[in-house]
Amino acid sequence: MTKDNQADNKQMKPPVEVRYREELEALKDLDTGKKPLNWKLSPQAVRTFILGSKKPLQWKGKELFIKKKYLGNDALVERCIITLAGNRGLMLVGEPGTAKTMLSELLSAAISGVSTNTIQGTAGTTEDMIKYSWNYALLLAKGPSREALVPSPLYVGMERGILTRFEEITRTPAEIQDSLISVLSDKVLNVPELGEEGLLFAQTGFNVIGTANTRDKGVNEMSSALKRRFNFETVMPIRDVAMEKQIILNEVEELAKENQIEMKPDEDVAELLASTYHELREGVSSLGHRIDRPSAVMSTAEAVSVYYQTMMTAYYYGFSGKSVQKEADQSKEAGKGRKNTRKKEQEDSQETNQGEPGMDLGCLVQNLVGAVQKENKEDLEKLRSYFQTVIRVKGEKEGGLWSEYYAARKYLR
Amino acid sequence: MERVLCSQEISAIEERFNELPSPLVYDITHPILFFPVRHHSPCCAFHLKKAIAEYRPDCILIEGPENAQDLIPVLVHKETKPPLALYYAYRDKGGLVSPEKEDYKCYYPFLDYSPELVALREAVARGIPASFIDLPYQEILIGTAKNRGVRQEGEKQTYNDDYLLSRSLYLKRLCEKTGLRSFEELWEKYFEIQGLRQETSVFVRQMLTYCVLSRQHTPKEELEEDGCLLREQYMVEQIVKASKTYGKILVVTGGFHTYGLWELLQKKNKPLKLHTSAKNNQEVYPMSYSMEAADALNGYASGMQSPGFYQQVWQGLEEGEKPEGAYEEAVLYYLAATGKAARQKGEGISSYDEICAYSMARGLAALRGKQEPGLYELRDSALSSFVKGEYSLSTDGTLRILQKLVTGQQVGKLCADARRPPLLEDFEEQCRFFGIKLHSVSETEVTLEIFSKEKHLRMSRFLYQTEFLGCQFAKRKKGSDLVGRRDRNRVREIWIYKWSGQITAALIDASISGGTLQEAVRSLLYTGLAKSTGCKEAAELLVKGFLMGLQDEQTLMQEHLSRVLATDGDFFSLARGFSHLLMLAELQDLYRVRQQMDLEGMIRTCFQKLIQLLPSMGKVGEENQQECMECLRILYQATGKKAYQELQPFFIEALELLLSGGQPQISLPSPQRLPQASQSRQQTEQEQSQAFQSWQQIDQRVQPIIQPGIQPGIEGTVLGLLYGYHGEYGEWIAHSAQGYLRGTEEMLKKSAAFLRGLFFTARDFVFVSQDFLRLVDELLERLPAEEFLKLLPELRMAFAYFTPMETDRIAGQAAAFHGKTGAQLLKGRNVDPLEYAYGEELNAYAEERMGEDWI
Repeated sequence: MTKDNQADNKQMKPPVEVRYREELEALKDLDTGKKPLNWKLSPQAVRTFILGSKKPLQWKGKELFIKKKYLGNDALVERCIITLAGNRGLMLVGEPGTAKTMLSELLSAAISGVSTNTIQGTAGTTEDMIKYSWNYALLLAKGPSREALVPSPLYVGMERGILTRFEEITRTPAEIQDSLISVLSDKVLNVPELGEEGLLFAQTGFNVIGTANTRDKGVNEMSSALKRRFNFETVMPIRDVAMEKQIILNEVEELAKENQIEMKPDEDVAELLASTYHELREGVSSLGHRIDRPSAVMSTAEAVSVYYQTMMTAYYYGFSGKSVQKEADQSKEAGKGRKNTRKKEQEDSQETNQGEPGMDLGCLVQNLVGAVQKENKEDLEKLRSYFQTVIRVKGEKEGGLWSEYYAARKYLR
Repeated sequence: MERVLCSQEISAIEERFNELPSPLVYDITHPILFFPVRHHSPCCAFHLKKAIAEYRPDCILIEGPENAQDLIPVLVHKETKPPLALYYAYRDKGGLVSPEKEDYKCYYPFLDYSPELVALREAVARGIPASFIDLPYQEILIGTAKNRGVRQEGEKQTYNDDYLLSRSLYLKRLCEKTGLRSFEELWEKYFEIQGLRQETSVFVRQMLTYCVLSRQHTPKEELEEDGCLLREQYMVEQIVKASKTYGKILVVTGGFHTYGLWELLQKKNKPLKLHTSAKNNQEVYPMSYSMEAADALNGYASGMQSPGFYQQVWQGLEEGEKPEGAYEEAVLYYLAATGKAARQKGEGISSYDEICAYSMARGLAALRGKQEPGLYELRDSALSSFVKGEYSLSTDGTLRILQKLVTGQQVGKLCADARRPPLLEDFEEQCRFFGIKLHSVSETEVTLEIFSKEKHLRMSRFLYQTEFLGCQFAKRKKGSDLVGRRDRNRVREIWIYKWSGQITAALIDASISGGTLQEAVRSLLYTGLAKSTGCKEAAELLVKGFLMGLQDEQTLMQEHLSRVLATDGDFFSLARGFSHLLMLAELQDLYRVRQQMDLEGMIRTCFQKLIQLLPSMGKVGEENQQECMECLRILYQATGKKAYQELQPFFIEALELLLSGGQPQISLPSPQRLPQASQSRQQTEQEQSQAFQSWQQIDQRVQPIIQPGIQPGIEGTVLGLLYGYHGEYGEWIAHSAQGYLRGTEEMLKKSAAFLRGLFFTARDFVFVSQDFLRLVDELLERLPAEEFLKLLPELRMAFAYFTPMETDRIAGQAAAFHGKTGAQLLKGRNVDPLEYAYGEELNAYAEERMGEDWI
């Protein structure tokens, strides 16, 4: 990553430390707490960075409000911070899409100032990707030397006393995972090729944050020896619809800002989607219906992407919120001429360029199908019966957006 | 807005606070010193001890129902060990609390670190008087609205009212603002841990500020409904009374009341009038309690969580020189204890895990701004360091161990001369009499020959009594189950009994109902009978009473039962009750319980009611069909008995009316002509054949009137019963059966249910003539495959009433209709060798064409 790149801000997803540079700097300047060696911020400031500040900070003559970035379990975040200050690694486990990665990025950006020192675990990860490898041209030219050694993120972390993130650790084969054991307990990495200089002692501040999915297919169980080197934190899916809605809105807003989509997310649609995801995940609706749970993972992250896709469609193809409403009304009444109306409305909005572009619930449902129907054909059937029972009743009871949502069930195929 | 509101409120409170007179802000020179506490708070107890030393009162007044005053010596006795509880009971015989005249009870638990107990002990140590000053329990009940305060339903009743401190909206905001999870955590951080480092006066001031805030957020109506205001008025009366005798009075009450008490003290109040009649119906006993029962998590809503943990803290405070470090010590103690217990259970927790957990607890405390780690840090650190892998049921074993440890396992002990309810004495005496070893934790099995040994019968009754009182002491493993009507043929009973603390609690609970087991059981039985609405329920209670050997005062029972009988209009409940009554009448000699009540009379009343209801049972829903069939059979069996044979004609008439839906039948054999039931089955096949033939000639005279829409299963059952009385009813069966089996498609579908009903009561009908089987055979031939599959479950049920021998016989006959013998059915036809070869060839060809992939 070059500086130019950062300045242009054209990255798809800038790292946390870039996204929140201002906040981190402010917190650092105002930090009065005791810092563990090599930490950029004190544990209290790290906590504030992740869980938000109650009052705005006064910094460089302006007010800076630290937003709450991780919604969910505050005590878990506190435990994570304390774990990282201690002797053991931190292992975040849980279902896919529960913001484990985000939490680990936030933690490393706040503690070490870098969230990119990362090993990405796959089935093909080998031991040299975890420890070190060689630049063979230099190795042949100069023999084994530090110069010819290509350090892994773990090596870098030990050398500089910063955090190393190990993503998807359970995807790597168990014997490869185990190469971490001695490093984590002794805090020493031996490079035999370098002879006497081959001992790399970890600098204070080094630690490892691992993330692991437990429910996915194709994961390897961790050995108990490795488990002992970690404190485990299980990240649970969000159980509160209001909070899930807030997460969808926050995330989508961030994404939109990064990609220069000037459109405000629609709160009602977010609520609709959050409750759909919540109900399908819990297997029971807010009205008490029992629901068949799809086998696909109904994570909040998925909900965010469904929402964002729909929003992008609305942004680029420009439906207006009103048009959807009208369209729904008309299609109810006449049941035909749908395409014409849509075209006409589209033209209208393009010509006059008035009003906010709105989200099309039909498009939302189509994206929902894409997200749900991944592994199992039956999942679509489950989604359909969910619409037939829960959404139908909600549409009848509450009308408005819910009946529109129910009308969009025709895309469930 | 919210922020503004809060700050406004706080300044208002502070203004108010500055106006507060000295007794409220810990002025040790004042003649009355108020000490606000939270029940079960170690820190309150700690400061209270200091306050007593500083203030040196002449008398200590404590919030607690006055009627336990004479139990104070037991509570402070050297041999008495907490956890203890005072058990209050009140029987509202006069309807003073509510017109329903219910019984009430509640517990007032004391732990080692309860400020009230600490105050009592200090008073003894200083030789000064201490007394409870709250309203007697019954008066509190009378002054409390339904479902409020001590009259709340659904949870274990306690006298403590700490919930007053933890329910306001203000508090919720406070938790959000401080980033703490709950009131309990807030309390621990700001009062328990921080409080230990404060001067007593500062602590009291902080406590009072919080309590006044809490009170201000509680509407006056709520205070009134909870009975708070009335209680406070009484407490003030007691304070005023004491102030006339003593120079320095220390008043220890829940912090919530302190401000209210002071306010009332400034006014002139009219003295409260107590209900003297209520006094006789109350009881109060000390009892040993357990930490488990005292844990807020186990339904004791106004206590503190994890009493074991705070007990450890309290011990640290008592033993240590300085209060600092008590919490950290306790956390360390429990981490180590958990690790040890986990290792014993085979969980791989190492000392290093414990070290990591300890440093985690300290780190969390620092991060959360607590001076020392507390219960929440203890739990968090165990979760983080002891759970290996994803948190789930299979990995949280260590946390469950910790939970058990912090709850505590101590069980209290009362001094030897503590007053015990007579019921408990009676129980123990009876145990001694029957040679039952008490206080042994292992299970003991005993076999009772109840019909041959008098003592065994009495022991069985005793065990049934303990079961009825909910002691969970003994359980019948084998033996006849008269209530469930199973295993009636057994002559022995095998019981298993085991001692547990639950027994004392259950007996003390029941002691409100009587002084001996017999009395308590009887009183509860009457209450149950009085409450019961159905005949079945009442008769079941009667059976239980029978098993428990309740013989006296049966007239009262009869009164209740007759009332229930008169009001019950449910056929099923009456029928079940009827069968219970019949059984009692039968067994009374065997069980040596001569019923003095008029069982016969009740049986006949019940029968009368059943006969009245019977004609309307033809159209019961499908879900009730089986039960209705069984009820009909009960009636049939009853009328078959010698004692009730004269009831037969009425039953038969009712059955006929059931078929016709109320119209009188052109009856075949008139009831008067009925032969003895025992002879009825002895008909010849010839007679039966004649019945069929006569039907085929369609004789109007013998055709029954069948109401349209009758439930086919019931029709079959009734016809079967009638056939049991007299063979000539066979014609009716034939008529109905043909109607279903040869009817239109819809009727055809109902035939399976009809057969099920018929076979339930008269399966022998099948064997008297081949005509009936032929008819069934015809049905099976006529049914399309799909319909047959639909009927199959019910047909299976119908044929399940036959014994295997009978099934074979039916199969043989059915085979004969198709020109086969039974043996032939088991063999197929002979296959020509050429035909076989062709088959093989065909098979190979098909396999080849389809290929392996295809398969």
